[in-house]
Amino acid sequence: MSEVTKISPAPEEAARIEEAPKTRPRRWPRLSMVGALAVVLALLPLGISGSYYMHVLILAFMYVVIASSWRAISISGQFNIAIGAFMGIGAYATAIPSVWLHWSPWVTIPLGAVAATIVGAALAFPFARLRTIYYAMGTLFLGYVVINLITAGGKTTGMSTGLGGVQPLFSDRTYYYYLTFGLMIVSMLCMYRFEFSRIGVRMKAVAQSHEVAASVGIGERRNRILAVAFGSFFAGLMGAVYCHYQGVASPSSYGLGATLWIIMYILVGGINSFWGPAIGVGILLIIPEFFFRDLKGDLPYVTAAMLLIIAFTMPEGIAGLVKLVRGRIFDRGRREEVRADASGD
Amino acid sequence: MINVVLLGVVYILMGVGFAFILNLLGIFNLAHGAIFMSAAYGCYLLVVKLGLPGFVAFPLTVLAAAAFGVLVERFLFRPMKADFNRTMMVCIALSTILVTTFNRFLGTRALSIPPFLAGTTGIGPYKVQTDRILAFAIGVVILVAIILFVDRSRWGAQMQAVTQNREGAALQGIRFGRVAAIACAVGFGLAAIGGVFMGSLYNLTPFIGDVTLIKVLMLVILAGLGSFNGIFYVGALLGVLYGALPVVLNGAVVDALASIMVLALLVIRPRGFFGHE
Repeated sequence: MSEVTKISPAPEEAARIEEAPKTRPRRWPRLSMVGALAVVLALLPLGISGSYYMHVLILAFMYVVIASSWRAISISGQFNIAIGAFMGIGAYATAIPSVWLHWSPWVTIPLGAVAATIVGAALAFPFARLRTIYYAMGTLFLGYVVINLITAGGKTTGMSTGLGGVQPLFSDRTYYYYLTFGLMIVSMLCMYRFEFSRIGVRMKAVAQSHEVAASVGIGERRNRILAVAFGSFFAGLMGAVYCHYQGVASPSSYGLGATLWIIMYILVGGINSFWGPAIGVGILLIIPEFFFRDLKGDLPYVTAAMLLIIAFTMPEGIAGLVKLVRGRIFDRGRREEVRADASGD
Repeated sequence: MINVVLLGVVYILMGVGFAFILNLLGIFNLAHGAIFMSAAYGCYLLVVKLGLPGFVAFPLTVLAAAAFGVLVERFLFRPMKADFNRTMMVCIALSTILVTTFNRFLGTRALSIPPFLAGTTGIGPYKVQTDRILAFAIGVVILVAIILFVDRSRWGAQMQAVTQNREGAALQGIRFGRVAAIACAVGFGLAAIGGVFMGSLYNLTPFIGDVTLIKVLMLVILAGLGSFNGIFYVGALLGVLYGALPVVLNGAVVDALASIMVLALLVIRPRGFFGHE
């Protein structure tokens, strides 16, 4: 970090970075809302057991975690287009021992998560040099390389058709529901702690200005690698569970298309809010599947229309809109400030 | 051999169009592949369903794509003010709509645009299909025209000015909106030309756009963001890579090799072969 010496110390800014945790949003109303939602979701299987809706919710739980893990990476200022690849590494790290060595899924799923973490951290190292658009492009090709390596892997990875016959965890879908639900709760708690702890503040400082961060002793590289390792753990974990749930690991589920849709969930929900990814999955995955299922092949039109509407009317996603509305109702005095906040400039 | 050269030309056309939009509007046009695919399908429909001869259908497709580019710029890109996240959403929505439309109405089975000219021509000891030579000639003419357009014409000079400094250009009385519309028209038109070539030489599915988009990104990254000449050299290189190597190696291995190359380059020299910060 030779650049550090060039920068004049900016004590006010440094102080602001250290003070950031004190200006946390009021959390209790939001947490109680989330808690109520969690209770409803926990009791829901009594009503919809075994149906298609349950399947959608299981997928949604997984995607909430994956999308949130993307956000955990992004709070350190990294626009990572390889999250699908981390899922893929987790999936294949569990599928290959499961299919060829007949290991128990309960051993291979953690193996998948750990493998994704290790690969993610190792790959984050050279990538810590890249910033902004170069980082985004680098990770895009990283994802492409991983998918190509899987496709070129011969019989071991099942090539482009995928590796079938992955052992299922349970025979009943209800168990999957509770497993993914539980994993989602635990993962979200971990990520909440991560974001609103001292580490998370450091990450945000790096994202705002790596030079100012470095001047107060917050290393850029270290924090960025940590963020990627943390995020890829959850992506790998869910990739592994997903692959056991589907019974097959196929490269197309982890390619660029999948990654871009995960990013869409986050952008729709609101990239600047912790609950953004979860809201985005609710809007973009659950609503079309629950209410527009009859359209079948025309379903993508609904999703595309939603994307356009949100891109045009809500620059900060749904969470940004919620923030704006709440600002108008509760903080009349601060209205201008909130509006400036939500317009994103 | 001619395949190698043609593939190179298609990639260069796509890459130049993509670079136009990227340099001038600062937009990563993730819908570029979908435009490419739609143009190929549009040309197929004109030729097969309406029975137009290829020489009419081809310019018609390109003009339609260019007009579509102007509309997209005005109604989708301009309101987003080059916000990376929002343009990304818009591009993905656009490409989803196009892919779904062709997928719904024409199905996923592979189609092919009938050749414009039948028969083969002998070049030395080799027999080459005449339409490929024609496509190559058209491609080269268009590329030369593009270079002249950027270098010599008034609009080209305005574009260069906007690329260098948007505010400065505006102070000299260059209207950004108009330049952006031209850039989009040219970019989409070039993608359409590439799409028609690809559709008449290879098979056509609703998903060719995605595959091509990756190659275009690869090309633009290798050449260096903001570099224009680099695209020509690297496009030729990629044409050789994807035209010749699959003969000796598995296609997936070639893909893996090419993408590892890009990755290595990005890590070692992020600005590409010919780029500047």
